[in-house]
Order: sequence, then structure tokens, then C-alpha cells
Amino acid sequence: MKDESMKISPELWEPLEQEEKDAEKIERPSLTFLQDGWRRLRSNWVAMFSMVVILLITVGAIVIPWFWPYTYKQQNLDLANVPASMETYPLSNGKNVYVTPQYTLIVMDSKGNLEGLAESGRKDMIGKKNYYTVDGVDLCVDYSLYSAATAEYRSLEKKADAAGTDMVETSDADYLVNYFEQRGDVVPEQISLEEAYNILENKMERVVVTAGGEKLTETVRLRNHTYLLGTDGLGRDLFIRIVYGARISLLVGFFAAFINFVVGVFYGAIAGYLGGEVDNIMMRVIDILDSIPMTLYVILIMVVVGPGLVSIILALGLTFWVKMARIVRGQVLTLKQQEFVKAAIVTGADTKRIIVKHLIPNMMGPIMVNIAMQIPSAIFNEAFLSFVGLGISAPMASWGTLCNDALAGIYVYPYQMVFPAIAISVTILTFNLFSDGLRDAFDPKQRK
Amino acid sequence: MKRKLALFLTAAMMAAALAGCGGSSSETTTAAPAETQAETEDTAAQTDTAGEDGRYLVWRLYAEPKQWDPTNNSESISDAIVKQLFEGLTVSTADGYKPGMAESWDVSDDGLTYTFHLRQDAKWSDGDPVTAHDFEYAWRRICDPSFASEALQAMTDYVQGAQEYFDGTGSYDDVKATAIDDYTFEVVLKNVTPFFPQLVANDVYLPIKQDVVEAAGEGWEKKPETCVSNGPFMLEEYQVGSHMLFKKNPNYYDADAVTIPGIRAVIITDDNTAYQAYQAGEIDVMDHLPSEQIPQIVAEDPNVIVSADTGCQFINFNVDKAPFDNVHVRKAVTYAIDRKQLVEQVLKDGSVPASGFIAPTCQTTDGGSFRTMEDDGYPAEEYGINPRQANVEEAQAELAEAGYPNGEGFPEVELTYANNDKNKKTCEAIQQMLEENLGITVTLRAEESSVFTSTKNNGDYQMATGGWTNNPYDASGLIKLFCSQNGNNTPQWRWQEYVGAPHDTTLNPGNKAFDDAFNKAMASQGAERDAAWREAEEALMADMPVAPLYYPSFTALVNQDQVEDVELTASNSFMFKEAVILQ
Amino acid sequence: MLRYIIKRVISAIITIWFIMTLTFILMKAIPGDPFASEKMADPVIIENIKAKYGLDKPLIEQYGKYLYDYAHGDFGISYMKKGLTTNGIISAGFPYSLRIGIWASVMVLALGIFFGIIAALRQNKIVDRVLMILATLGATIPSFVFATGFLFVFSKILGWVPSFGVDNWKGYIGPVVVSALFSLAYVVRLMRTSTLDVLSQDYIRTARAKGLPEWRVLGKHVMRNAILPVVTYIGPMFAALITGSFVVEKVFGIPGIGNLFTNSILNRDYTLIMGITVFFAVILVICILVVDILYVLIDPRIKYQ
Repeated sequence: MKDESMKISPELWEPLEQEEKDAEKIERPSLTFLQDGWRRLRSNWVAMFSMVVILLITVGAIVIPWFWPYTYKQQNLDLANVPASMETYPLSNGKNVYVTPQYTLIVMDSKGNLEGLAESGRKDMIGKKNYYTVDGVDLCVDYSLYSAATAEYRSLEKKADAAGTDMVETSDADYLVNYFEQRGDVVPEQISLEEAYNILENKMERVVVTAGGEKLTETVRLRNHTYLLGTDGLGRDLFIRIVYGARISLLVGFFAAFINFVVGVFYGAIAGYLGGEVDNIMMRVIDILDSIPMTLYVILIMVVVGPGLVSIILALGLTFWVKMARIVRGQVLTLKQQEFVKAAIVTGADTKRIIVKHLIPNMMGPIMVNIAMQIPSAIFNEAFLSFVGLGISAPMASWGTLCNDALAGIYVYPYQMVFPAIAISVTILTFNLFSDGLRDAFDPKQRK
Repeated sequence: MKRKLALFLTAAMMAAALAGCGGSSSETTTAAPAETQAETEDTAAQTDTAGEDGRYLVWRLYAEPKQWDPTNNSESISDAIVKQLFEGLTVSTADGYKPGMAESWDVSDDGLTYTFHLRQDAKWSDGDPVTAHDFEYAWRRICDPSFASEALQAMTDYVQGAQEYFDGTGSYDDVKATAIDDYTFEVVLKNVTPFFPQLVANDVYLPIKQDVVEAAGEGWEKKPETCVSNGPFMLEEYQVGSHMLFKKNPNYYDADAVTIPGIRAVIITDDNTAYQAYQAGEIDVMDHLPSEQIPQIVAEDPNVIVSADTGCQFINFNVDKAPFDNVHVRKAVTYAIDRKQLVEQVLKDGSVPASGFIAPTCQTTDGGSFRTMEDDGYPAEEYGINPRQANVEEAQAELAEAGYPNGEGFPEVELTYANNDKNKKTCEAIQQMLEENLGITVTLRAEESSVFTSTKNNGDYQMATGGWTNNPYDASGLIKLFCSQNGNNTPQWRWQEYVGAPHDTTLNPGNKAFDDAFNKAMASQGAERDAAWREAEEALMADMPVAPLYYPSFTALVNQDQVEDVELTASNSFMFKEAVILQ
Repeated sequence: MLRYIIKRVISAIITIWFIMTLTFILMKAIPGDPFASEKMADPVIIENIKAKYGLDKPLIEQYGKYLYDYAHGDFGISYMKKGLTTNGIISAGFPYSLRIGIWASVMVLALGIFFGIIAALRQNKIVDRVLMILATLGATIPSFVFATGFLFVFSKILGWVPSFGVDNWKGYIGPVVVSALFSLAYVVRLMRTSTLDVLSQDYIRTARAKGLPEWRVLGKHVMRNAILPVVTYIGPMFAALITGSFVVEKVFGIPGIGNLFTNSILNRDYTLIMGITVFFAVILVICILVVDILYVLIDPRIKYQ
């Protein structure tokens, strides 16, 4: 009976309009913190572009050595220090020759495929002339001009000094006359001493190449078709060395970033959040770690694990998060007094949750800046340690050691420094732009 | 209030840092740069603007010397410094030596006793006369066991009674370097040493003044007031890591010949920086040129000096450890290196490829050379070593004879080197040559030089780079390295045990022939001596504990527009006594 | 406040004792020998020299003497640089590094804070982009490249500064600029980021809403809060800058303490390594102490128990 009375007839119900049904629906998909960040990141084209570049460099460092014709340690001593692009003299037999800074000749075909070092016939050290025969063409490299001109300049200087004037007679020095005649200019009677010096050091031709007695005047700029970025001091392909170097440098850089993020951030956050005596002790431990120079750590670690990348990584792991911990602790000290942390405490969040969910996202700015700056610093630390003999062993190279090796010859072969330096700069720049993007995407204060 | 406190603290932080320095400088008894600061700047201004006496000559030092006490010297950089400050019995010159403090000397008939007659007008920089007693003190001090001089061997190798005094079996008075009277100094030698008058021009045989040295204690030579010297110059100022000033010594007997007011020796460790300073005219004299720029400097700069060093660079094989305990393996490696490529394409500094251990500049007793040189300036092929190319066939044959045909089954070996740019490049090139020519795998290991020396002396390596330079006038200085009783016998090539190397218990009979030849040479003169040196080298090369690579060169720049008459001695060190400043 | 300071000073002293002990242990553990040299192979000489420096005594005795001497301000004598005391060497080299470090710090703070705020105020505008790219380059060009390039341009080509040394004020320009470069890049970025953070805070909106002039908003509210992460960084940065850089001092030919220190490590000059390490540690600890106290003073939100 009872049941009967409770029965409601279906006619009493009226179906809801579709429109009304949708009123309560959540229009957007529910997003986690990470998904939300990724969505924001994706819309930032600078950050995405940087990410693609970083991926390309990483993949390139892994893949390129598989198919590249040279290895990082393959030498060709005859073709040492050949730049990526050079001023060459075309010969009548279709060959081109490049005069090295040592006044030897590198022979190549007209496209820039290197063929080797010209066999020296005779070297006249006193007359400052080198003689070569390249496929039947007799060549002479005469490099006496500069030293002769230097002597002439010295006498000009003395003469001007004696006369108490700054002007010198052009006719007194053959190199000045030759210089103006070659340019097709009228030879001025007098020029200033300063200009004479400038012509000597920067403007005049220092080397003359003659083929069968005829002076070669025409030059062609050729790209090095054998070695993309030229060769280093032992005739190794610079490009593949930079690619191999990327492996080591990126590994060191990534590791530095990782150790910063994991150890540095949490260590600093815990010290700052707990405060008081714990904070004091934790920070003093950092002071101690920071006071011992890294070189000493590395020397000691090397005794245990031997020289190489592992020692460096261990030493980085020991000390490289210290700066980050200090910055994070400073931030936490400020943030923990703010209302949102108090609110979280009141709602019963535990320490772990407060640090991970509330404090760290609010410090993303300084954290990201710090990581972005620590990566290049780690790369250079590795270079410094390798430089003093505590790093990776030769012939392996990192970007840092490539720069170091190039330093001795920076005035003669600047390209050997420029290419690895560009590799470092581009990588770090993209890291920076990417980390800026990450910060914008994950920092709650930046949400709009 | 808070803001003021904040400002105060910031200031305090700076002050604390300054106080840290001030606090320690009050403790200091040496150098005292805080006080000399102003002075330094004054002298700098003086040297730039040429005062009444003209400016100081500027000389670049490539490293900071540990010390320049002549009786405790072991570095070449200090050698160059002491020769400006002190003068020995004789003086080295570009082509040998000339009398110095000694006007003349007599040799006894058996060639063992030298009697030096000292000049009577020589004075110390404090005005006291230089006497034979000063020499006696300096020479005997080196052998004092408690002084523990690094220069010890210079005495114990030659002077009778020196080793005994050091060992404790003899006494101070038994060292046979004696002042007979104020101006007569007598030395009795262990062996006949025809080049002894040349030898005594060296740094460790210079006199020092007993009373000031003993009063001041260690470091006496670093303070202008206690660095009393008898040479053309005297110490005026020393600032750690920065520079030294040497001024003309007015009490020097030949002071009239010294025309420059002094020398400013600046320490610049970076070669590129130093070369730039030279180009800018800020430095007059420098050595250790930037390695990559040497070819151009040699080609273009008329001021460059390229001279041969009397020495040899080589690879040590540890003859006690497999696989280099096999002479065929050692020979295979020795033959497989292309020395011409190494010198011309890697080093590019005028070094000469080697064909044996004794350098071409090392003189035989009649002034000739131990090496036959050919037209291209390189030595002739000897001991199977072709200086112009790798002897690949012979190398592979030796390797096969050792039981590793085409390098099969050959273990991976390690080549250790003291870390610097030049060694690194050299070793990388050698690594490639060995891999290509022999099919063996070589790994490289760089060590800091302070570790490397112990590594080598203790025999904790398989292959290691090495080098040795000595005086040009006798082969003994070069070749003594391989005597069984020498602690620097880095290949551990010994036929009898040596107390200084207790770890070396594996004996190598091949070394006996060497020792015998060495002793024979030391006891003989003239052609017989030369023949014995050759015999010693043959014994060395037959067993090949080292692979000679090249004879190093010495490159330097002397700005001839600014200074002239800077003398370079036969051992490649500068003498500024007669230098003249032009501008 | 006073209690806090006293407590911090005591813990600083304990820290320094820890560092000293650690350094001592490290010295005994690292391989290499200051007395190994090519021409000195006789082991008897080496034994005698070790006896001279007390290295033949038991470790605990050496440690005790070390602590005692250091407590009295005596850092011992150098093994390598014969006849010089560690105190003497430090006081010879440190003034140069200190001068360079102070000027570099001034440059970093003045320019870094200024450009950081400018970049933040012009976020994503051309000024900001240019500053950020410069800052990145500043951090990515190795200091030896920059130093060599600086000398090439300003000394060799233009002749404005000397090729080496610090005999006059011009010699300081290069070392100061090169040392400051990395930290400057860092501070610009840090300042920009934290300024952006602060600008988005409610109290800035409030300050603007109540009609404060912009310069007062920036000076009083933005600056004061945004500078906090930079303050944390100042302590270690100042300590690092005044203790010198091996590379900068080598390239510019300056007899500073950074160069001396690295060389003493490579030469295994034990007493000098220990002396300089402890000296640097004291500087670092003082700088951090001062910064910690400064922090409490600047930031109204931090309280210490």
C-alpha cells in the first residue's frame, strides 16, 4: 500500500531542455598544474623555438658523429690550422693555393677541396723566400716585405725625430711608394708618421706569391670544402670536435641544472622554512662546503675515481647547489610570512605540501634565473679544471677546453676560438630564453 | 635607525675585508708591500719618464722564482736572476767564459787541484771586500746536511769531501774547497774535470756573504737590506708576484762598464700578454714567446733570437713494467714516431728532431759536436732513428718480434705528461702516430707538474714525457741522468739497486755497460773521454729506455730599437751588465 | 637582535674551525709533493727538508700546532717561496684583488640594479630584449676571451690602457670590467625577475591606486622588495670578487691573490694553500654574516626568534 502511494507517475516529469542541461557543465577540461603550465608554455613561441633549438643541439650531439666522415681525434698534421674560409691564389693549372701564416702553401682544387701541403723545394731563411712546385708550376712565397718595411719605417722614425717633425718623405721608404702605386693612387710627397705606421702594420701587403716569376695578384675567397669549420692545431676537424664537445659540456650543464634544482632548491627551502637553529646549522654547512676551493675537491676526488668527467661531476655535485640554496632560503624567509602560506597552514597543509605546492612555485623567477646562470658557469668550471690538468683527458674535448686550446693562438687563428664560443653562447642564450618561458608558465604570480 | 644600521653594516663589511689584510700585514716581516706601494708607483713613473740616470731596462720573467739564494738554486729562472746579482770565479759569455772574481788559476799536474787567485779590488755591495772565505762558506754550506740544499749534486759530483760531509762520515773542514788565504781559493776534485773553470761560472758556485746570510736566515736574498751581492747589480725592491728592481751596484769592481741604472724584472705569466707588452714597447727583453706565434715572429721580427738549447726531450719507458720491459716494444715505439712532423707541424719553434740522446750543441773535448748534421740542419740517421720520418717497417718488425704482429694482442698503454699546452699537443700527435703506424691503443693522462715529478721518479707510469737540459761544454751533465745511482733515472733503468729508489727492485743488466762507460769517461780526458761518451750513448740506445724526440730551441726577443749589447750566454741566459739603453 | 648577532658570531667561529680542520685533512690527503723537483732527487735531502718544516711529526701534533698558530694570527711560512711568510704573501697580493673586487662590486650593484629595473619596467620591449641578450652574452663569453679581447682592442689597437700591471688607475679598468661581467649579467637578470614579481603584487596596485607618484612607488615599494634576492647574492659575490680571479690576474699580469692561490694549489705549497683558504673562509663568513643581518634590517617581513 505504502509503495503504491509513493509511486509517482512518469508523466509528472518533464525532460529538461538541452540548454539547461549544459548550464552546470565545466566547459574547459580539468587541468593539472603541469598541464596548465605546458598549455601556457606552448603559446610562447620564443620559448618553444628555444626548446626546439636545445633539442636539435642535443640530438645533433648524439647523432652527427654516427655519419660524419671524421672522428674527434683523427689528425692530419699537414692540414693543421686551415680556416673555414680563406683567401686563395688561383693557379693556371686549375689549382688554388692558400698561404698559411707560416708562409707555407696549402693546395686545393678550385672548389675548396683540400689536397695537401705543398712540398717545399727550398727555404731561403735569410732572403725570406720559400720555393714550391705545385703540379709543375713553380711558386715562390716572398715574405721579406714586412721586415724590410719595418727597417725602413725605423729610419723614417729616426729621421722625423731628428727633424722634430711628424711628417715623413714618402720617397724615403720603398714600401710607402709601392703601397700607393699598387692602389693606383698618386704618390703623395709627404705623409704623417702615424699614417706610415698604419700602412706598415695594417694596410700593406705582407706577402707576395709569384708563379714562374709572374706575380699573382688575383685572389679568390674559397670555403673550406673538406672541413666545414676548418681544422685545429693538429689538423683535426673543428666541427666534429665541437659536436663531441657538446656532449661533455651539455652533460656538465644539465647536471649542474639538475643538482641545483633538486638539492639546492629543497635544501634552501627546508632551511628557510624551518628557520631557527636548523636553519643556522644548515647554512653553516653550506658555508663550509663553499669555503673549500673546488680545485681541492677535484684533486681529492681524482685520487679515488681517477681523472675524467666523473671527478668533475662529483665535485660539481658537492658544491654547485650552494648559491641556489642561499637564494631560495632568502626567498623563503620572506615568503613564509605572507598570507597565502598562513592560509595554507590554517587549512592543515603539511610542511612538504607547503614547500612543494606553495613556496616553490612562487620562487620560480629567481630559481630559473639562477639555473640559467649556473649552466654556463659549470661549463667554464669544467674548462678551467681541464685547463689545469684536472679534467677530461686529451684528445677528448669540451667546449671549454676548445676555447682554452685556441687561446694561445687567438691572434693567429681567431676562428678556432670563435666557433666554440658561438656554440656556447647560442646554447646558453636558448637555455635562458627557455627558462624565462618556463618561469612565465609556472609562476602563479605571472598568471593573467 | 634601521637604515643607518644597514649602511653601517655595509661599510663594516668592506672594512672587515680591509682589516683582514691590514691585520696580517702587521705581522709580516718580509716584502711589506703595503708600505712599498707608494714607492712602487713612484719608480714606475720614473721608469716611464726617464729620470736623470735614464730608465731601467725592463725584463720579463715568465714565472715567479721560488728563491734566488745561489747556494740553494734548482730553477732556471732563478739562475738568470742570480747572475745579475752575483759574480763567480769565472763569468759565462756568449762563447765560453772569462775570468770574473778570479784573475787567474793554476791546475795541478794530475788535473785534480785548482788554485784560484782572486782579484783584490772586488767588493760586496755593502763595501766589504770579497775574499776566498766567502767562496769557502758558500761551497761548504751547500753540502751541509741540515741545510738540505737543492743544489747539492753540483758539489758532491765534483768536490772531494763534499759527499762525506753530507752523509755524516766527514766534517765541514774536510770539504776540499778551502781558502788558503784571503785571495787564494783551492779546490780538490774527485775526477779530472777539464771544463771546471767553465762550470764555476754557474749559479750554485757563486759566493755569498756569511755574516749577513746567517744573521738574516732563510729568505735573506729577498730583502734589499740583506741581499748583499758582489755582481753588477743589487736588489733594490722585491714585490711578491709582481716585480723585482735591481739597481746598479756602485761597489762592483767593474762598475764603470755598467751604463744602465738598473733592471726592472716584471713577472708576467701569460705569454700573449707579455708579447703584447713587448710590441707596445713596454718590455725590452723577453723569452718564452707565445708558442703559436713563434713562426711569424721568427719570419717577421728582426729582434728575434733563436738558439739551440743543449738538451733533449724524450719519452720515458718504464723498463720494469710490461709491455715496456721488452726492448723490442721500446724500439718499435721509438721508430714509429715521425720527428720531423712533430717539430715542423706541431712545435714550429725551431726545435731539431733527434737521432740520439746527446744534443748537437754539446761539445766534444776539441769543441766539435757529437752529432753529424746534414744540409737541412737536422742530424743524420743514427741508432735506427730517422729524424726526417717514421721508420714504420722497422717499427712493425720490432713489434712483431716482441710478439705483437700488427699490434695484435698489444695491451692499451698510457702516456703520462706534465700538463701544459705544448706537452698536450705533442702527446696527442704521438698518440696518433703510434696508433697509425703500430696499430696500438694509447691513452693520455695529464698530471700537474708537482705530481708528475713524483710519478716519474717512483716509476708509477708506463710511458711519460721527459726532458733534460744542461751545460753545453761536457756530455756528463746530460747523460748522467741514466746512471744507476741517479734519482732522476726516470725509466728505472738500473743494473744495481739504489738507496734513493727503494721501489726499483727489478734490475736491468743493460744499464751496466752504460755505468761502466760513464765511469770510464769521467776518469779520462781528450779523445778517450769523447769515445767513452759515445760508448755510453750506444749502451743507452741499445737498450732504449728512452725514445729521444727533439732537441729544444730557445726563442727570445730583445728590442734592439730600445736596448743593445744584451748578452746571451752559451747556456741561453741573459747578462745585462753591459747593456745600453737607447731610448 | 643583539642576541641573534652574538649567536651568529659564535656559529661563525665554529664554522671557521670546521673549515680549518677540513682544509688540514684535505692537505694531508691530496697527492703531490711541494719538494719534488727535477734537480732534487736525493731522498735524504727531501727527508731533511721535511724535518725542517716539522712534517715528520705525528699528524695530531701538526694539527695542534696549526690551530695554535692560526689562533695567534700566524699562518706559517711558505714551502715554495723560500723565506716568505704566508701572512706576508697574502698582504702582498690581497690589496690588488681587493681594489679590483670593490670596484667590480660597485659596478655590479650600481649598473645591475639600474638596468634590471629598467628591463622590468619595459618588459618585452626592445630595451628589455637588448639588455637581456647583452646579459646572456656577458655570462657566456669566457672571461679569458673577454680579457684577451679587451687587451687587444684597448691596449694594442687604441693604446688607452697598459698591456699589463696596475701601475696606474688605467690598469684597473680592464680587470674590473672583466671581473664584474659575469656577476653583472647575473644581477641584471635577478633584479629584472624580482622586479617583475613585485610589480604584479597587490600592494603595488594599491600604492598606485592611492595616487602615489610613480617614482615613489618605484623607490619605496618596488625597489625595497625587489632588491631582496640580490641582497642574498651580495655576500658571496663580494667575497668571490675581492678574493681575485686566476684568469683575470694571469691575463692582465696582476700580482693578485687569485693567481697566487691557484699556483699554490698546483705547486702543493701546503702552508700557503691552508693560509689562503682560511683567509678566504673568514672573508666569506663575515660577508655572509653581514648580509644576514642586513636582510633582517631591510625586510620588514622577516622575524627572528
